[in-house]
Amino acid sequence: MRKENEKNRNLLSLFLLFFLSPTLLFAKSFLSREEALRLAFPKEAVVARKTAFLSEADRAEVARRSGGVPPPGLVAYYVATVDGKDAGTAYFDTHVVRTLPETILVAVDPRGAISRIEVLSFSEPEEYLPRGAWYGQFPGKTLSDELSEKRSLRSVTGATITVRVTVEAARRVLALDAFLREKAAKESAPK
Amino acid sequence: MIRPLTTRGAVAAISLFLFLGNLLSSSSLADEPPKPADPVTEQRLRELEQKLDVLTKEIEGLRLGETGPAEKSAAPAPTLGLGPAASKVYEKKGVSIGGYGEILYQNFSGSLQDGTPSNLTPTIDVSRAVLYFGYKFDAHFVFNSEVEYEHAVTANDKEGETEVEFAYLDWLSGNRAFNARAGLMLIPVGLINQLHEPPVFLGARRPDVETVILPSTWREIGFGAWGDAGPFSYRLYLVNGLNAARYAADGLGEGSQEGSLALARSFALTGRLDYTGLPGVVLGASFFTGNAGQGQVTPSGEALAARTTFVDLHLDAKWRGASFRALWAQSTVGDAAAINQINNFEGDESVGKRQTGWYAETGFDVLSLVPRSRMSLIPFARYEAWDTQASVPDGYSRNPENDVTQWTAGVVFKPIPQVVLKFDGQWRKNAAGTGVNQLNVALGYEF
Repeated sequence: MRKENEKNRNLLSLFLLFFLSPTLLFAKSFLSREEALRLAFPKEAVVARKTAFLSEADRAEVARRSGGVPPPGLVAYYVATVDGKDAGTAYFDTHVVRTLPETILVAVDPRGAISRIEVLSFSEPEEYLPRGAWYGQFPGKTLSDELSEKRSLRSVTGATITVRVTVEAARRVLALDAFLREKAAKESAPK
Repeated sequence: MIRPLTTRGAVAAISLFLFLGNLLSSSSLADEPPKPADPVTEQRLRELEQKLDVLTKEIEGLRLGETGPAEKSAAPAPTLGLGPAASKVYEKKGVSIGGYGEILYQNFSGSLQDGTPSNLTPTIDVSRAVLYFGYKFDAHFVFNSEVEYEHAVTANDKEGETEVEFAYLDWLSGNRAFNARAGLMLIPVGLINQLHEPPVFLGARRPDVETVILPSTWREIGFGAWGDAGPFSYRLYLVNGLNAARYAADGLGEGSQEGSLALARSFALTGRLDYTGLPGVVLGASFFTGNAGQGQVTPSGEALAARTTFVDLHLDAKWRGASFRALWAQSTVGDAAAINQINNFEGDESVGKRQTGWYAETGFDVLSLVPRSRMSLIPFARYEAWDTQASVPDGYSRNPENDVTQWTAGVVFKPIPQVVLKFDGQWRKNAAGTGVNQLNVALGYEF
């Protein structure tokens, strides 16, 4: 019995040694809106907040392009410029994962490709949140059939629902960004 | 100070939008050159624009789930994510509900491997119906649980069980490298034990290696740490040990105490380390080691240590529509002869000193070739080999029925990602010639 207690003590010591070791030198979980925006654009960028009001027809058109659900009628987005030149646009997309919501930032470059995705909030247990490397697959992706967890994006076992809703959000933002750019171009065209 | 937007506020905001929309559209639709507005109207329009801006910001904040001030002044500039903890302003309270389940039909071959009648009757069963409840108390404390019903009915004359599969509290540090967990937890071994929802694995039945060699669903009570550090993901828990007195010749699974009035004299350390740096790939290893004597003594009066150790190596890889899984696992049991004596096991009834098994599985989603298809159709094949008596103590013999190989091949259809229909055949052989083939159909879901 003494041996048994000794072994249990050894196990506990080994375990506590790990617990007390310095492990706090890594990235934190979530960003605030301002932090995410700073990461999305160059340091010298001037960021302006804009609001778009989408009609039912506009929303349906964005849904058709993304192949998913329509965006909300009221969309706030952040346009960055550097020396007066377009440096990209960032959108925040909030969607339900299982029961509770997740909010992500999707930054789109002037060519219409994703430049960054950041997670701002994730209310489900964090075990259902993919690792950072998974989000690293998005930069450079444009709205095409390849932007799918069954094609150019690899899925994550154990976080399949989060993966799917994130891909849907990325497609929705890209479709919205293209739509808003086209609309702005039309409105500014000489009549 | 921005005040939270109430329902009345939202109605007011919508009314204001409509008013402004009418105002703007009426002026733009009119085919007349714009007239300069008088100063009073100009001032009023400016005020309305300001109000509209405030309201849209409020709505955006609500949609993003911000429960505190959206604008944080004087926040230091972050460097690649190393910023101040700010997640506390993003909290969504409430119970998260989910679940999964599977219904399994099994039809066995009329004859065994050696041609003798099997006398097995087809069965159909609600194998599992599981409800998941989670609750986020705040940014740091999260409760997570699963309550499982097996075989539909729990009664004296039925084989059904109601089980708490896990129930634990997480403490989230706000840093993904280190989080703490305590409660009834899934043992972090293999590929199936932690991720066993039917749409996650191919095959109507779980791989037998991850049932017989690595028990699933295996859980014990304890505490530990988990997180991600760079390209690695880890778990390390201290949990109550197994109960060696319940080991058997066909595996150690019954030694799991499942958090039910568990004997707590012996404890165990368990953990896993996975490389997750390459999206779609999990490559790792896990272990479980500790005594399983739980204070019991052998017939000769000596304390039973029954040191039990499990190890596994695993790979899960996905690329486009293709998937590949492989796992090797082994367990060793100390004092196996003493366990036999406690249980009066003789001859080939012996508990194995060593159990070993492996499997490899591959599948391809042919509908991944169809653009934007949400459906999946995955033909797959799996090969498994295991032996629960790879070695036995001196004076005992191995039962060749426990030395098994098995092919599984079939097709998995998912009309949507969370619903799955599986058809497969299993061709099982053992060294005794008593293996039996079977056909399986399963319906599964998760939400």
